[in-house]
Amino acid sequence: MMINFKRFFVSALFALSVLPMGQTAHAQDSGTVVRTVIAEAIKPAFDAFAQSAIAANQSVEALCAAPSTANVLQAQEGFRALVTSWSHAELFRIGPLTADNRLERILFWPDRRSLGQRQVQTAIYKKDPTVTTLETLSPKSVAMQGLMALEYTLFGKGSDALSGTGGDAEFRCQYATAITQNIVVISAELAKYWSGENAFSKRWLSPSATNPMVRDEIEQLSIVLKIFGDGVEIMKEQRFSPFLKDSQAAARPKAALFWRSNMSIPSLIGGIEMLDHLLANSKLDSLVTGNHKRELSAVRFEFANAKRALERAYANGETDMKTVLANEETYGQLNYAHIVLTGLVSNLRGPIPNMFGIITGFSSLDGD
Amino acid sequence: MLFGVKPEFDRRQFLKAAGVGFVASLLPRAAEAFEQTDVLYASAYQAPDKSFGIALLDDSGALLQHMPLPKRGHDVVYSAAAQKLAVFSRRPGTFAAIMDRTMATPPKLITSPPNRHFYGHGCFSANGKLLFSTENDFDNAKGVIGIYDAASDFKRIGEFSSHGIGPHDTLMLPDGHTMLIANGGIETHPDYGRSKLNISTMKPNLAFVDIRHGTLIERHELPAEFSKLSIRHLAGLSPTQFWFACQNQDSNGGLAPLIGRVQLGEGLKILRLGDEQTASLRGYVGSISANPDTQTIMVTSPKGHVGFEISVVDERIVKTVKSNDICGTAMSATGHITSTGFGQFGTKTHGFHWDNHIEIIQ
Repeated sequence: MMINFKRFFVSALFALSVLPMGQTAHAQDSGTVVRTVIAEAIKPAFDAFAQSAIAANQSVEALCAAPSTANVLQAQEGFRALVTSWSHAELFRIGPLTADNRLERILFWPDRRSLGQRQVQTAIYKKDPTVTTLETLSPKSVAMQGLMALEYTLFGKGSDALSGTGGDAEFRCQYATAITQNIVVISAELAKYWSGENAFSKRWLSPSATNPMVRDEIEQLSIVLKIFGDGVEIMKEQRFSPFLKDSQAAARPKAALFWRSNMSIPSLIGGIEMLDHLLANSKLDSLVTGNHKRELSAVRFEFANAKRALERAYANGETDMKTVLANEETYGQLNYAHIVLTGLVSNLRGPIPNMFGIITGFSSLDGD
Repeated sequence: MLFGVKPEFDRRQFLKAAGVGFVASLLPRAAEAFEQTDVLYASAYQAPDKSFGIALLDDSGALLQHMPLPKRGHDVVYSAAAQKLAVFSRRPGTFAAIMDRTMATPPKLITSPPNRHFYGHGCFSANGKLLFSTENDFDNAKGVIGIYDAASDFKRIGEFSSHGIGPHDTLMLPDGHTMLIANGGIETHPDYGRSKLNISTMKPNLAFVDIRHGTLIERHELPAEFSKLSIRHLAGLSPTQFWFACQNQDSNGGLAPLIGRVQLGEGLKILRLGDEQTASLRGYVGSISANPDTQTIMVTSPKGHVGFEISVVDERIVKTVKSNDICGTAMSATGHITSTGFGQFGTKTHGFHWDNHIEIIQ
């Protein structure tokens, strides 16, 4: 099935870069692209996330069974691996991840008023027994049961005690265990959902007039392109902008996601790596020719630029965000990556989707 | 307040730069049209050179007048009593411009306070002496209605609660003291751009508020199954009957209805279209207008590239308009006029991207 270009009407006044009929060479069709995206990126990302959740749970349980400095480090590494795999999977904010508050249950962010932190601190201070079992934790506030809560238990104030048995150590470890069990359950649901045909992919792969998700091949592709647009915009607006601010003097290290575990920059790198992987393996480039192929290559070039700048900021050996942002050179690298992302947002929201016949209207921004 | 919103523009610089455009910019046929035409329309736009402005058009969609704006405008509201127009910047913008209805002189520019931003909509009081705007008290995650006094050069003289989060469109009821507010329910903060911060817990509502004291008269929420329908836009069909349109924040929302009716004292009623028509709206109604003469409403979806004119008598679609990026709509002599982001306005096409809304000037 080829893209139906009859739906296109593009005013010459605005010269959008939609290919007129006859100038495309579709080695693949849009359904193939969707199937490839699911097989090459979405399914592996959620499988890996589920596996890393199991590993994180095991490392935390090992810590609880035998508290030691080595086991604390092991549990912390388990958390970091979990965040890395999450930074890949979270880009696919479609279907099951956005249902039943799964996204928020895994990552309650932004938490602008530190609601989650206060709830977690209170639970630890009061030794609330209902946060220490999966059954009683999962119905609680989404802010108490995901990665932010887990990070606080393993890296937050008082986490030093985890290597011993005194103070809050035992309670904190039980809470961390319940959180990892909760993430194991949710991530397993996600992996299972994407392991075969599901309600979402069925809709995605079956365009029709009554399909509330996609009525034709253009809309099939628009979901793929939206993954890119949403991904870079979330990184820019929710991850970068809050801590980078307008100047180095105004930078706010604690506004960075995962600052306690020093995973702020690695999680950004993970996101960019997945977007690049998706672009490289989605077969999107088989739907376009000539200059449009080069424009897709240019997007990959910009992904590489952003990733390189982030790696330079991180590879300085000073990985905590306070130090990174206080250093003029590493702040500059982050600032550069932010500029690259800003350009990517603009490109991936307009010209790139337009190349595939997707109409990016003037009036259809969410919420206006 | 920790972080205020910075002004988006230098007001003095803008007026100086735009000054040339205001001098004798009234197109020759504009003055004539004001005398001869019963109905005019106003809408915000983006020009081909990427600049922004507001335009006046006649009932066929022919351009009569246009005026630059410092940034992108969104909704336009008109006061027949004061014969003034106001245009609000698109969220999270911080300016509004007030002008006389001929747009022959430079506008009065106002800015939101440092700890507020505009949501892009508002309304005049019945006598035109006050201008109200939907605003975000973002540090406290509360919606407010800002009050601006025409007698003091539109100085901000106060505010009251919108009784919800994320107020968007608003209407003044004919009694002159009751305001209907569409609280979209979505929390945003300038630190995070246009990101939605509370989708899992959002609670949109329609609030009837007495503007004399800011007190809540009635508040209506959608059924729990539709809690992720952000109520965005309003249209008054009669002094007592108001129609609303929603945008679905649930990406797996399927065929959730997007249109409904609300009446003071009677609550709300959801209108259901056929599955194919609901699906074609793509979970997003960008604008709504009502025509009391034809007893119809028009809803448009720039994501679905479709508009439906619906009879409120039997709740059936009487006309379907398919047009790329269709969004603006307003009452016309025969039904409704529409505009698109690709330049179409009524039967005419211009070199402008028309913004989401059209205001009727009678």
